[in-house]
Amino acid sequence: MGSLRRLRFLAVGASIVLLAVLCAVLAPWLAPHDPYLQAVSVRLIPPVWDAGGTWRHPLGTDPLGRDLLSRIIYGAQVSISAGALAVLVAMTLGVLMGLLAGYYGGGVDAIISNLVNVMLAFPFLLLALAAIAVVGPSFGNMIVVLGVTGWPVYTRVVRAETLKYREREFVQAARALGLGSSRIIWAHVLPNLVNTIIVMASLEVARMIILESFLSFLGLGIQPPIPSWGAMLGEGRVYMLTHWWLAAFPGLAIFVTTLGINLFGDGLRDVLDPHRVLTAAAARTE
Amino acid sequence: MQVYVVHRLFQALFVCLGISLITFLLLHVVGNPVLLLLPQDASDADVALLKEKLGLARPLWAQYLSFLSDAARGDFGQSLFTQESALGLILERMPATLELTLAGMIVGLGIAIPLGVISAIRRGSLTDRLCTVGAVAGQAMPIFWLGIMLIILFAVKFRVLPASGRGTLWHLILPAITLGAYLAPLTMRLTRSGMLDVLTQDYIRTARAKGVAERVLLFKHALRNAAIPIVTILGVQFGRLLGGAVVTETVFAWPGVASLAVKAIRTYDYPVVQGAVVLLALLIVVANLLTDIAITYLDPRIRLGKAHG
Repeated sequence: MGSLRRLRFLAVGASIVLLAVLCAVLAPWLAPHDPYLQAVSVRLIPPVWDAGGTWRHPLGTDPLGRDLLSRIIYGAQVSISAGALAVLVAMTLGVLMGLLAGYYGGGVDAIISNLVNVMLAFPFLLLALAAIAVVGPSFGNMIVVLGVTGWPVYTRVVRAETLKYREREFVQAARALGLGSSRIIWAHVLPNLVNTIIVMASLEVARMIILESFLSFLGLGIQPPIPSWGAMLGEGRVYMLTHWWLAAFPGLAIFVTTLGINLFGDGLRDVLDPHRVLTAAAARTE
Repeated sequence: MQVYVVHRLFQALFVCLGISLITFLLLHVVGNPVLLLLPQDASDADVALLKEKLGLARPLWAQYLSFLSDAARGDFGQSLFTQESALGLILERMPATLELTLAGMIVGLGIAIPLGVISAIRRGSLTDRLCTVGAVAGQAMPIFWLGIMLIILFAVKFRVLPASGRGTLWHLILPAITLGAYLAPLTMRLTRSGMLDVLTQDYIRTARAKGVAERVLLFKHALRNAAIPIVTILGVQFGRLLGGAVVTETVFAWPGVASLAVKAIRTYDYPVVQGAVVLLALLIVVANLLTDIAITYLDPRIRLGKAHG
């Protein structure tokens, strides 16, 4: 009974993720207007169901007269690519470090584990903010900063798993057969960790999207006029006392997308590895 | 026990050194404070002069050592803009941050722990399912959006609560709810699974079999043992809580350390950034240390080897 419900979660999550990806890919065809097109005559139009709203701009317009719905559809491009790329960087770094620490142990492990402890003691957000301020706000810098600050979560889990597999018979056998360490790691240890890594990475995409949005919200991420949900929310905040929709819809887009990713990731975890529900949840607490 | 505490103290000290080193490298090597402080057309002579004045012309290791010895004495330098002591500025705002985190923790745990326990006891019930769905949704919620929505709803539409600032208890309500909502979902899920673990133990079955009243069973036997995972959660969550405070303080213009740090980051007031990052990280290190010691106290089985094996 429980597993069926889980599968339903997985399906709902997958549909939301698919929808967001479709928005990103098909934005030029889906969006009713050019997201950059400014028109003073139609500035700050409320959503269609509010007094003064029009079907031409179903979610209303911003202070420059740009169509909010079109900007939100285009915003999917930024959020999804930023989330996926940041996870790719963090995952690659983190998995590599975890494999090294877990497999070689000793000094390598001591250095990496201590580095993980240091990184996890940082207020992650402040570290990312400071780093962005230092290197300057841009899409590429943001990916690098999120990736370089986000790796320890993977290292912790991958290290623990590698430690476990290192002592297993099939790894010992490979070693006895004279296989090199790197070959053992790639061909015999890593394949066993793939499920765990996929589940973690899928859930991390949501966290990275929220972080990207917050950086952009503060003006330290995606720069205007590129439509990004976080930056739109930041702009909307200025108008929140008078024009609620400017902040409400971009945030809703972030919320629904991350919800979809979390449902998908949680479901995936149950499908791929029903026994690790607890450990993975604990790892995500950082 | 004592050996363990001493070992953990050394580990914490090492983490502090690492934190100071990373912060220092980030601000002094990756970034160049001089170029950011001067106008773009500043002459080389100006750059050299300012470097000299800020002590940035010395070799890096010398800069780091003096940074370290100053930091150990609580001296992070002066704010580049107000010329006030960075530590003074930070400490001045610390009560506001602690007030907010404490309030957020009370709200978050006040929601999460009872719901987590109830979900575990009534596993599979409608309440449990609603809680699970709520937790999943809550985990996906970007809290800066939640904060803004709360402001729009309660400060703009209903006009019952202030939108920003600090002062009365009324000012604390929305920020505390926002921060609590950030903390609650994960805490609830972990409390639930911790409680479920305990409830399936043999001694619970034994107690039930010998006819211990359900209420006594829950509060005396189960909850007391579930305290260990819950304390662990609290410690681990402290770092997240401070991260959430960064967001909450920014949204509600709450005059705490985190919003000071964000402002300093934007204006590249690096002594203040340095001080705030190091001090907040120290708070997290101390919280983690206290958690580990508390767990050892709660569970005598946990010893060095087992705890970190």
